[in-house]
Amino acid sequence: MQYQLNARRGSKLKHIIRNPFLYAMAVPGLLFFLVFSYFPIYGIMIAFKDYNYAKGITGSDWVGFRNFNYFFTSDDFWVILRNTLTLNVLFIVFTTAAAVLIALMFNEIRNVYFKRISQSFIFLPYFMSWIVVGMIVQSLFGGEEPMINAWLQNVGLEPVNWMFESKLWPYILTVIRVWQGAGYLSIIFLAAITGITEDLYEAARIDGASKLQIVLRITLPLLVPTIMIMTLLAVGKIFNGDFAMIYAIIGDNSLLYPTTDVIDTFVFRSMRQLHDFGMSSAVGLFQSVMGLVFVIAANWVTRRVSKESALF
Amino acid sequence: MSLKKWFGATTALVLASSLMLAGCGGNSENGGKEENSPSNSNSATSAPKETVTLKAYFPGDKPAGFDDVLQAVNDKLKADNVGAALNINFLPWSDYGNALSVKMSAGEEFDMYLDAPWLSMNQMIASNSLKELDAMVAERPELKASIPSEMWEYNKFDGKIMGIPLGTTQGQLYGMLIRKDLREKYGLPELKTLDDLEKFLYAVKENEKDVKPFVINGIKADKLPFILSESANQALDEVLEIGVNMFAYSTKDKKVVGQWASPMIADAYERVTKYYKDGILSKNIAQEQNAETLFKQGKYAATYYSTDGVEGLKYSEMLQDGSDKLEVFVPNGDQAKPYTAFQQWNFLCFPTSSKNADLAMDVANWLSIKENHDLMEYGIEGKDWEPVGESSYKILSSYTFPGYVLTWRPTLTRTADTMMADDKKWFDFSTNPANFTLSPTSGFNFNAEKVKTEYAKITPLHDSIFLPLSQGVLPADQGKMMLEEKMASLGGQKVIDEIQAQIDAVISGK
Repeated sequence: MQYQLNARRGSKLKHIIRNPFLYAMAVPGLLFFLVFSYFPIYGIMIAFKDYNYAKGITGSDWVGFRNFNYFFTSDDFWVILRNTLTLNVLFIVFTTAAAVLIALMFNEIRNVYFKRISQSFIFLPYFMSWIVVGMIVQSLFGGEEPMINAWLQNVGLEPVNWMFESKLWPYILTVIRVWQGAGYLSIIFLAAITGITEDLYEAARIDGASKLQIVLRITLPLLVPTIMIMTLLAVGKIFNGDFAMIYAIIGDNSLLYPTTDVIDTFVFRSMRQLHDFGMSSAVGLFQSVMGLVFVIAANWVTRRVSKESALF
Repeated sequence: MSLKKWFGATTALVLASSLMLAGCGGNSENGGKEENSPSNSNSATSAPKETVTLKAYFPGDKPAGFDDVLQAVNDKLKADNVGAALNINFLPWSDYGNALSVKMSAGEEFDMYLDAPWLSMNQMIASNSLKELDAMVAERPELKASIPSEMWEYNKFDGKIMGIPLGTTQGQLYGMLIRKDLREKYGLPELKTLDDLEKFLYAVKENEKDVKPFVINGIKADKLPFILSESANQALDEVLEIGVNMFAYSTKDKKVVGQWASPMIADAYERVTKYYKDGILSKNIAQEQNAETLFKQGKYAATYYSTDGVEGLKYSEMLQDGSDKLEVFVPNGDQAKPYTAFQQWNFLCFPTSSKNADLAMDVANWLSIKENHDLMEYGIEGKDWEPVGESSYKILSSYTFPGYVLTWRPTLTRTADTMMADDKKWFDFSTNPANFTLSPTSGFNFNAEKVKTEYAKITPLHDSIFLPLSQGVLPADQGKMMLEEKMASLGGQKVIDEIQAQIDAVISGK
């Protein structure tokens, strides 16, 4: 509110002069994006060029949309597109839901030590390399006698041929993703919950609201803007398959491609022999543009529903 | 922030960044030129030569004890007045190809590196990023002599030497490494034919509780049909390996065909299908990555073998207990004279951007002298290794230099004294050019530039259909049909036609 009033009253410059430290704090972040996100944008032109190492980026010949041909006319284009979107939607929905639940539960823990220890534990998988996760998954589901099958048989269930059942893998991957990412997201949500003013809770308690009512009527609604922002950020990458994750877990197991092959792994395999910068850049550009379209669309929908939750 | 403001800020940032970028570009060009001028004048001065440090990039991890050996190499380079010192950088395999492409396109200066047709060599040649070496090789007798003439001749690109071919063997024979103790346990004679092999594998399957018949890494399984065919290791109607995955060349009708459609190894695909169904090939084959470890642990009775001098050595530790429980089975071994293109898979390349190519070639020549070669590849004599005769050596330390990036010379190679007798026999066999038949497609290196859209589209078929077919996971008839269909719908014919055209051009040019 204060910001908007200021902005309306005086020029931007005045605002900067009045709050120099606030802006100084933003400089490192801005620099980061400038160097790693805005500088490289000029490289987009590689997608439209027959890129040649010797001629360099500007010297290579323009080829129009030829680099886009291979990807869009690939046989598996729709399958891969579907896989990428399905997996990402599953990831976003379940990770967010799990993270909100975890954050709400953390918020109710009163024992400080228990809270800190359990936070650290739930945060831990986020720091684990996908290669390590891949090995864990491999020993659970892979090999001639998967560990999971031994457990299943111990409780009297039929063993499953995991590496042949491509239908199961979107769910397995989702579980892994939630295990890996929900902890991290929950910490962000928890921070947002901590920021909710105590007055509201006090008032609710005086009015005799139950714990559940407080959660549903105060905590959750006030958490929605943060949830929306995190979701919108995730939607921006909805066309990017998580290469490190999928490749570390699925690897070269072709039996699982029908449900787990995403844009990034497919392009990786296509380019194994060719190493063509132009074609890979074309796919990257396509992913970014579609991501942008989706973010704008999602943001537009969000604005319609609740204006405060929108990103811009 | 409103949308308008947001865009305003973005535009401003982009503008600012492009301005700064323009500045950067200019600077680096100037900087590059300034840096180089002194080194040029240096190399002109005469003895004792001033030392120019050459920068090299190779894939893999830095070998244990490498710094000491490199120091010794550089000391000797200095003592021999070559005028160069080596600065060797190892980049992890996982991003070697990408890192090199980026370094090359960013114009970073370095003097030598490992490249190959399976990495980025063809693209590098197409973009004039590599030095032609013909004249420089001719002027360097030790280098020229250390590599057989067939190897020089048939590893040219468009008739020119674009990299020093690195290799030890002249072609490959495929076979299996067998647990001799198990074979003897079932009273089976030495394996000579595929039927003998089949008996052995089925005997293990039926009788052994803890040992399974055969293990191979999923990704290696495209070689299985070469082993399990009656035509294995002979020079018959088809050249199976022409350097392009999945395709073969029929010498009978002079046509490029799919390996899957080859009548010559059709029997192998039937065998693979049957073995997979019968559990001779593990159900796990599609995702198997630990074949080496599993075989070493004694969980399998046979594994993949090829005469490349590497495959057999992996298992020499199994014989450290003094037993001789391993033997090599090479199908049609006594009449083997397989096709070879005398093609090597690794090349020491010299970027055009380097100002020290002559000097770098001097170093390559220097490394072709036996004692220098031995110093780089096996380490410091007495500390890392000691000679056993002329062609063998005893390993004393854990120093293992990846010779295929720099030092492999067929005439200078020593084999470790731990190499099992069978393996050494077949390795020595394969280092001799006389044991191979010159492939009619030799000299052909596929350049996919003209059909790269189609080539990019069919490349994934290798992993998604061709491998499962070779693994037996997809039954032969079904897998072959799927490949035919997909190849047709993805424009595979255009790739085949292009390969055909390039092979025809090579053959007519001979």
